[in-house]
Amino acid sequence: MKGKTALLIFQSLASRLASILMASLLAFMILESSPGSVIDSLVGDEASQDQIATLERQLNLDKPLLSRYAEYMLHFIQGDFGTSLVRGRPVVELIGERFLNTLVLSFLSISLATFTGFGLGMLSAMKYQSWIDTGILVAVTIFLAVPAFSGAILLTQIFSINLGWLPVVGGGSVKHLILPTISLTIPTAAVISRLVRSRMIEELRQFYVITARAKGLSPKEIWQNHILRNALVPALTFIGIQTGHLLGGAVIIETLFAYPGIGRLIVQAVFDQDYPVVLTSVILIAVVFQILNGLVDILHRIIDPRVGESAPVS
Amino acid sequence: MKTLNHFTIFTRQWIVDLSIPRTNAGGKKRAFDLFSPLFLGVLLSSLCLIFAFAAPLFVDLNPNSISGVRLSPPGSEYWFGTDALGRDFFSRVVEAVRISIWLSLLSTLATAIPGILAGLWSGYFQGWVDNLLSRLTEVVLAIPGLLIIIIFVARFGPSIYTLIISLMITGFPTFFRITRNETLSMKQQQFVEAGRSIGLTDTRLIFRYILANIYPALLTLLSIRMGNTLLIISGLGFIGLGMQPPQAELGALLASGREYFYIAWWLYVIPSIFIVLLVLGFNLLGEGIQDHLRH
Repeated sequence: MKGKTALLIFQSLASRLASILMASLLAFMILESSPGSVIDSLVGDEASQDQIATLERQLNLDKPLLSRYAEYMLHFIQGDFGTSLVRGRPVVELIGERFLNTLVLSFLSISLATFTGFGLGMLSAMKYQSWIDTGILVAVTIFLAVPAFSGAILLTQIFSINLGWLPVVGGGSVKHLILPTISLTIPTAAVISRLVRSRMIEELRQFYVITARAKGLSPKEIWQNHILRNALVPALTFIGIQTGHLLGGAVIIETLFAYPGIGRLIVQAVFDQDYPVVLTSVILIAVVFQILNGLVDILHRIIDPRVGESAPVS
Repeated sequence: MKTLNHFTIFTRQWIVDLSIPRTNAGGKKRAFDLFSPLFLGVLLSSLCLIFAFAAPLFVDLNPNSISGVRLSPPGSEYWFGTDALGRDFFSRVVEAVRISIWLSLLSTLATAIPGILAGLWSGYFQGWVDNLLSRLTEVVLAIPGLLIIIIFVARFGPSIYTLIISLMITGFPTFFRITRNETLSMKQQQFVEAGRSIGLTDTRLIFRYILANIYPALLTLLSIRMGNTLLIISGLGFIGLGMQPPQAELGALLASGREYFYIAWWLYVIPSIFIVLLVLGFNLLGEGIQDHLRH
């Protein structure tokens, strides 16, 4: 049994690593497969053929695609993430702080969304088919349709411009974090609350609830030990994925609030065709994404041991 | 190979949510049932469609001509006011709603059709094609979708084609995996075996037996994907990666009205309302289809 578990974990790690590698190749190909090149954005139209050729050799752009990718990955594995082609600074320097900023933003909003989502979803399920449930369901359904940036503009208008409590744009202090966090939290919390609600209602209909009642457990105990526990599973899966999506998908909110996160850096770097910056960021995000999904898998197994028997580690 | 059965939320969280029958188990009538999702969804979507596609028949629209005063508030002359350049905002909104609907529809269909066909094939025949496609979708799912879209669109320049292709790349795995899993479980049902035993061809079995049974789930997915796509497209438009001016979809329209929030609220409020109505309409439609066809 132990050997089997170890094998499963190894398989899972290997397939996650393979996914990351393939994903980086995909990103590399998207970035490199077009006729336009970084040279144009560096020298402009007036450069002579000679100058271009020299620059190509310097930046290693004269080799074929796959060999450049292999070379890049070799360096990457050794911890050398390269230098920004446009900004001339090491990629680590450029990415480090911004990646941290985005991590902070994503984790703050996912935790906030988890709490509110669970709270609302549970309340909804406990008061199933009452006006509270209906109210929450209607509100959540509407919030699901509001784009994060639209809500963000309204929040900025109220809290930054009308009331003057919070800064409009920028980053660096706790105050700068509040509005972006809330903007990202609202849609996520809406999804979580719907997931939790529907799963809890489904659980309430199971026979084990009646059994548990019959053997003398109080409703509170049933909710805590059985229903909440079972409702955790789909919510967790979503939370794991959503955190990953926030890492890459916070771009719009980051742009709106001029928040110094990784998303804005990536967009800028793509426009500049600064592929070491983009690639490193993408791989970093993919790695965090896979780690999160791995953690969710493990948690999933702890919460619901039945999973381990039938399903492979994915 | 068994897959976790909560897999569906892996990509589209709503599907699981929708799997709860909305029956009146307790016999109590809920207020929300009076306005069933299907009815509301059809109502909202068709209102938006009528607005976008019928308005040009009755009103003279000139979204790009600079006509009146700048930033004039909504009134009898300009129903939705004018924007910062003095263009009739009503015309611009009609145009934007139309572009948004077309873009979402096109990219959703461009995603769904190959995704569903590949999913049917993979689930039914399995084998190496299934293996390859499953691996490929895993690779795409290893990077957050929006990131792929943004890199792709920024790389190849914002246009309708890059938008649709990037949405295809990121949306394919969802349709593929859900169709594949549904097909796999349908294939094990007795009626398929019965069909095979009386000598029906694979094509007939796939389309008349399997697809006919899983299409409610796919229609739901399609409708919700429409709403989702609209949100993504307007998000891209908002940061300038969507349609290029003077053409504008709702996100870009909203972005240009953002600076004038204080003096010209309508430039922000009206596009926002239309995005919400459209997305809400598609989401409710999806839920309604699910309720209606499955239970």
